[in-house]
Amino acid sequence: MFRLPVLRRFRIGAVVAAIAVALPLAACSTGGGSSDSGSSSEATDTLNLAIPPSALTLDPAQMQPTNSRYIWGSIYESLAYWDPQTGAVTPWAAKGWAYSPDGKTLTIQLRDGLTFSDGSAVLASDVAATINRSVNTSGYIQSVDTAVASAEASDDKTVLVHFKYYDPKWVSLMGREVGVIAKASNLNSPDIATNPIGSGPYTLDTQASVPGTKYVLRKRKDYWDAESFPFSTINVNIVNDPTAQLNAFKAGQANATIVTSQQVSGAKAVEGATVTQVDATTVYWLLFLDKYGKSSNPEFKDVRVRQAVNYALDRDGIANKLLQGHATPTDQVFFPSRDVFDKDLEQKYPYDPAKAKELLAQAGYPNGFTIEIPSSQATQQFEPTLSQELGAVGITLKWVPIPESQTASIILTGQYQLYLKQSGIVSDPYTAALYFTPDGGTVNPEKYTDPTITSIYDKITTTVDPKQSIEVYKELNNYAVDQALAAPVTMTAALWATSQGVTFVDRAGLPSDIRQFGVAGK
Amino acid sequence: MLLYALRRLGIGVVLAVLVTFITYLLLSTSFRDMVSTLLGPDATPDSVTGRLHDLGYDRPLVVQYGDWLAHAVRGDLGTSLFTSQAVAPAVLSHMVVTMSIVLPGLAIALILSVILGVWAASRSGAPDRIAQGISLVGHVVPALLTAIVLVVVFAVELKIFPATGYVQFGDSPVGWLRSTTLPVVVLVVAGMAAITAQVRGSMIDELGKDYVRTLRTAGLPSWSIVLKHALRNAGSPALTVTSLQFIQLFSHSVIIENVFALPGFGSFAFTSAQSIDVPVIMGVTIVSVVLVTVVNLIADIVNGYLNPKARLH
Repeated sequence: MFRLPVLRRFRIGAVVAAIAVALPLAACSTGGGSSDSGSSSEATDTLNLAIPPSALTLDPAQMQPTNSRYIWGSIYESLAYWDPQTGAVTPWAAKGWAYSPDGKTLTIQLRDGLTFSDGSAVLASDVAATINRSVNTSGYIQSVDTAVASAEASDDKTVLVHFKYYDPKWVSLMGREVGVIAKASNLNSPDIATNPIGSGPYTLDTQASVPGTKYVLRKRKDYWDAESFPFSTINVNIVNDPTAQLNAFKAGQANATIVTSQQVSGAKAVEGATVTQVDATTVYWLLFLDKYGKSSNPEFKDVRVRQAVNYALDRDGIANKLLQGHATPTDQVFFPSRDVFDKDLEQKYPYDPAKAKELLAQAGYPNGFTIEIPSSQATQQFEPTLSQELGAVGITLKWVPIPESQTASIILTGQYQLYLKQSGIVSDPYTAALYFTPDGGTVNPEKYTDPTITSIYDKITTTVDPKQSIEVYKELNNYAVDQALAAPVTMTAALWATSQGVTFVDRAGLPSDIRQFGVAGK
Repeated sequence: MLLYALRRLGIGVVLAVLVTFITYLLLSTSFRDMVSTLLGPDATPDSVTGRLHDLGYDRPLVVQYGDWLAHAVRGDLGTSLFTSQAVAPAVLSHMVVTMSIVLPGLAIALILSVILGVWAASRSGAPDRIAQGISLVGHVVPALLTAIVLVVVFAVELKIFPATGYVQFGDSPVGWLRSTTLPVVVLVVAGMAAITAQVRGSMIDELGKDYVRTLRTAGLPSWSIVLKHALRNAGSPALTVTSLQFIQLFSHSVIIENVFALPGFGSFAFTSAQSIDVPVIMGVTIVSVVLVTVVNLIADIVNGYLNPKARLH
């Protein structure tokens, strides 16, 4: 047996090393932490957000209305904003606007005092240049902003936007990515996507930021309405894992974060924390992708089969049991707290398996049928329940796993006739209306339409008066529910946890906006 | 040795070209999905096609790959489609984060494993059981579980270390140490399992050989026999395991970085794969291939130093 004095020295050395490391660490742990850890005590001045990743570019032609809007929406000024309290599109950099009678020209008046972060004045020519570049650059904005022909400045404060046809959604887009204002001379800068000259209330601290990981925003003192933005610094931390987001919140590194329904109790356990439920941010709906009946599963051509699916769904059960009450049962896809949503329609398809069976029998399917349906991470939670409820009336679902990243292209191939889709809800009725038109994208890959839909859509695109247009949207909503063009299941909620001192405005269907967050007592 | 190193580097270059080409080939089936994601849910097939054309992803595959390779050899790995960040500096900055947990993790794991392995082989009995126990724990407890437990105990409950995030060394050395301590501990536990077992096994073999008995009869002190002779001979297989552990810990970093929200290479690769950010995935792939090649080469060279017989191969 060997006796090794050297090992004893190693042992002693190891203990000394451990103490040497532990002491300073323990010391700093009691010293208030380093600059990276935003504790709740500094919450009134600094907002530390922990959000999941999404496309993060500051190129005005490519920005998307995802969580990344907390970043680009703070750096760029927007012509309008969606009021967090009311949901209404409200003038901001634009003090007003007016359509020409044919809806093909929009005149926008800019307010006084707008400046870029380099101190220069925001001019109408900057607004026009931003719009023109976005509609002429292939990218996200070009794909949503299809109606604009061009924009021009008639003077320093007046912008004229010329449309190829009346676009009912354009005013609401002014409060989203389409309405941002970039500096004309900076638009073709090579670093426009990472370090732009902004016009909004915050500037990006590029030294402290790590693209794709952490964005540090500093409030502009020379901003025309700096008082409306209470936080002097906003740290937006991109955290991929929901558990890590919650841990950051629990440890005091984040004072606002998104949580899942399973994480609510954990977030509430933090002293002074509040969890706010934002109703109706996402709709889950079963889409009938072959209403023309051209495939080997032509069943959904028959309105009675589509209605049977609607009757077979126990929406209350799904919302309250499966989703633990963090969801609202619905058979509509229009935003619930706006004018188009019709409460009476919610009674259209009560849970009635017997009625569903009867309708299937009338349609010629007394023994039901079997159908394949794509399975992905987003659908897994619902699969057992949907299989059970539709199976009970004779419709057997065969879930087929598909790659998450290829969902869109697989749906567009027309391979599947039924699909459980998760769509973000916006309060803009035109976006919801589009789902039922041939421009519905992955919601309507077969480009289904019928004379009624065509007629209503024509009215939507020619009715410039907002009040009159609401009635037209209602007509479409009524028709979509009556004809069971889809089978909406639930509108699920988003859950935000905020620390003591940070407030969060309950808002749904609106773009992510830094205005959601406030300081308690202010 | 120089010729050997050059030959290995040559093989590494061929490997890099092959792996990146196969990766590009596989990614090519998802170009349309990538652009669809990029353009959002409102994208029409026409706008997707237009964007594909603008980005050059509708050209013949070999032309696209050749174009990428021609830029890559000049150090230009393109620009991320989702963050607009240049890929080469992005990969480097994320690699720094990963290295700042993997290298200390591996070094500490190696030191502790050698101490533990030598101790166990030399003393048998309780020390041996302790070493085997630690090795077993490292094998059976997943790194993810270790990470979660450490976060809950030391970050969420005790608030000694931050739960998430990374502080650059230049900004705050103490902050850097605090932000990397827990991830390093996870990697140490994971790394020690295999290295300890290897060192212990090799040392037991060496200490049972004739030359050790000869050295003892010649009157050499025990510490000299163990550290100067037996450990050197046992070091070669241990080094091979260590180089493999480096790659293993690198893989672990995907999980560890997600749990601790570290902006490292692993989470960078994971996020880019989720969004099919082709330029980033290609950048991550080539850097990974180069890294594995270089680490194996270094291990071979050091092996050659420890074991002259290895230089012949």
